[in-house]
Amino acid sequence: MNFALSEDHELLRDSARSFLDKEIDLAPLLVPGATANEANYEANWSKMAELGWAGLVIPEESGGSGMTLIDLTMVVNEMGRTLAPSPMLGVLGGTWALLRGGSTEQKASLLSRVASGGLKLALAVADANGNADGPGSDAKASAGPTGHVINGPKSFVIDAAAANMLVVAAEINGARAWFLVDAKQDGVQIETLAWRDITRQVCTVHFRDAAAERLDADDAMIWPWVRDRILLVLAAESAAGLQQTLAGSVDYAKERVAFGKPIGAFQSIKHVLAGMFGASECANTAVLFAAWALSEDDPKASISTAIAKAYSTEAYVTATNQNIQIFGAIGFTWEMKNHLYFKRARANAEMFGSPARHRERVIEFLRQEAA
Amino acid sequence: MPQGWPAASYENWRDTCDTLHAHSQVLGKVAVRLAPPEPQLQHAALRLTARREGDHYVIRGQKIWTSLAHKAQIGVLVARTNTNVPKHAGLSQFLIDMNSPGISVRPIIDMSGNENEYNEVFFDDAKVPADRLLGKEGDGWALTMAQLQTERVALSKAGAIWGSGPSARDLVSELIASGGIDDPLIRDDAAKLYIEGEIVRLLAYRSLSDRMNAKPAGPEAAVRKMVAAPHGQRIVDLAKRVQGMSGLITGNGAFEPTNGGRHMFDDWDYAFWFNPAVTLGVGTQEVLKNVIAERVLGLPRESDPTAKTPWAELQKSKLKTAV
Repeated sequence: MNFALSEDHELLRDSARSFLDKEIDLAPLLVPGATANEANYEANWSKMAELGWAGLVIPEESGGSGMTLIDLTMVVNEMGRTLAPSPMLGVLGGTWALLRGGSTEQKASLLSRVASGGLKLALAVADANGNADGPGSDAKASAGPTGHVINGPKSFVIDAAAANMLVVAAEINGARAWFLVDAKQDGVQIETLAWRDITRQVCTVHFRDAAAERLDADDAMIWPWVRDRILLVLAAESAAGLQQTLAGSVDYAKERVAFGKPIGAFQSIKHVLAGMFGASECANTAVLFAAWALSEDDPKASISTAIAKAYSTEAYVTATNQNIQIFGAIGFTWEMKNHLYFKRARANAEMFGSPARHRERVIEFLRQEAA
Repeated sequence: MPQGWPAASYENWRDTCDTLHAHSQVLGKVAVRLAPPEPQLQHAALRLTARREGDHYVIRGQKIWTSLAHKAQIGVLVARTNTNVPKHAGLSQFLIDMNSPGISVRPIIDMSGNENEYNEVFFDDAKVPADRLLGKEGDGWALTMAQLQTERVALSKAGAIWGSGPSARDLVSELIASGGIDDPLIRDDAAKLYIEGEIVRLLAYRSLSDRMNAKPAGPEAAVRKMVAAPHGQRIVDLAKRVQGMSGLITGNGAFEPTNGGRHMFDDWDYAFWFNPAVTLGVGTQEVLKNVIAERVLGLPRESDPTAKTPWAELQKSKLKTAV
């Protein structure tokens, strides 16, 4: 593969960067008690949708821009770098499930509305124990007289409160299947969690006889495909967040003076930053390869997303800890942005499987390969 | 042309010196750059001198940590040709015939106890024809730095002993085959190493890709070595841990040597006892981190108060201090 970004990729990255640098303001979050809503979570999305970001992964014939996952990585990198509060991740997850599992009619009626930004999706897949991989589900579906209904909870649903429609994994006849659920109906109750990463919105959803429309494809068809893409997004956000964490640490180390020189003149600080730079190079490389492998449907695609997620999110956690150490006590205060990155890193590491869980998957892949 | 010298013109040798140097470890016949005997192998501080006499240079002094000098026919020598300029400016490089009179090689027995890799080389007024100077007098520092970048890249492959020994892929396949992977105390570390190994491989492709797209080689060489060297150490360390007590028996490797044991670096046991060298050679881990911090991240540079003082004066002040 060619690791060099094309001019188109660089152009896309630069335009995403200048847009987000102008639009994203995290200052409202530096007040205790603030949530993503105060940082223009909804308004940011409207502007992103105007740029076509709601339909990045939707094919052109369905009203999207049909971009590759490498293109998407350029945009997601910048969102991770700026911690851009918006329902992007929820919409992406829902879109992928619909793209992979929906019938021709379902896709025809919904995708163009998603691409225009009018219809916001969210993916309800995880359960209370944090597991998103099935085979069961806390929420149960059953066939009623006028279609399916869902009962029970889904947990850690990203961007659920903002969504008009949920794509839900629920158990039916002992297996997991996927459903479209109108989020605004009476049988759906959405509770926004007091989530530590206040740049995101994360919810619990309670279903009570909620009307649901089943997606065509089965769980084995939908989930592994969708999961690989979500893992790529989390890894890409984390790699770029790590790069930003490094940049912030380096700037501060050049500015802050102690014992008569900038603290960045001391090897104890230099060596931490050099290590962080190495980790950042590694994370970015792992992410680019995973994006490429997924785009090309390479046999190594799944193991590569597991590698990218495990490495990047863990390295991000380490870097955000080191960042606060370098800043010293000021970095521990709510009025600084350091904790926003620290919390995003922590959350990204846990979402959709911890680094250790994905390392376990890597070994499983290799065992299967060896068998 | 002296006997034993390869049948190629010196001009050709000069032109291909960079390439030759990059491949010297592989060829096993050409000694890599001869390091100076000062602590930390600071090339700028080296004391070995080459004095011009007619159509020859006369070499006097000592080198240390010369890889494979005992097998080499040709050496690449960095010598001080001018003592009246600051230390970086007075260096020159030569191609030398290792069989010349006045050159003697003494092996360094390292802590692995195996056949030596490294040597001390003594020059007792050895003569080198003047046309074996590489480039011009005073080019030595620049040439050495360029070669060092190449060497760091060459020695940053995914695996133990600068990439020449067993890799994380080797380790994980052995652990899967032997059932060692079932031990949870081993498995997560093995997975971490596998992941790192794949990323180190990708970093190499990325550098290659940059070269092919005509982006110049930068300090990334230091980054790659900083990442790859301790990665390689951890591979053979985990293999040793899998063995427990029996790993302490001399010659007892965790697994059969890789590549059919063609080279001693393929041996798991040797690779482990060689481990401490990997974060020392070709730039210690600490020096590499300084390079990255200063040249890539732009942090304040370490100041060297002697950088502009003529080398000969530095020697005088050292003598005074010693007295």
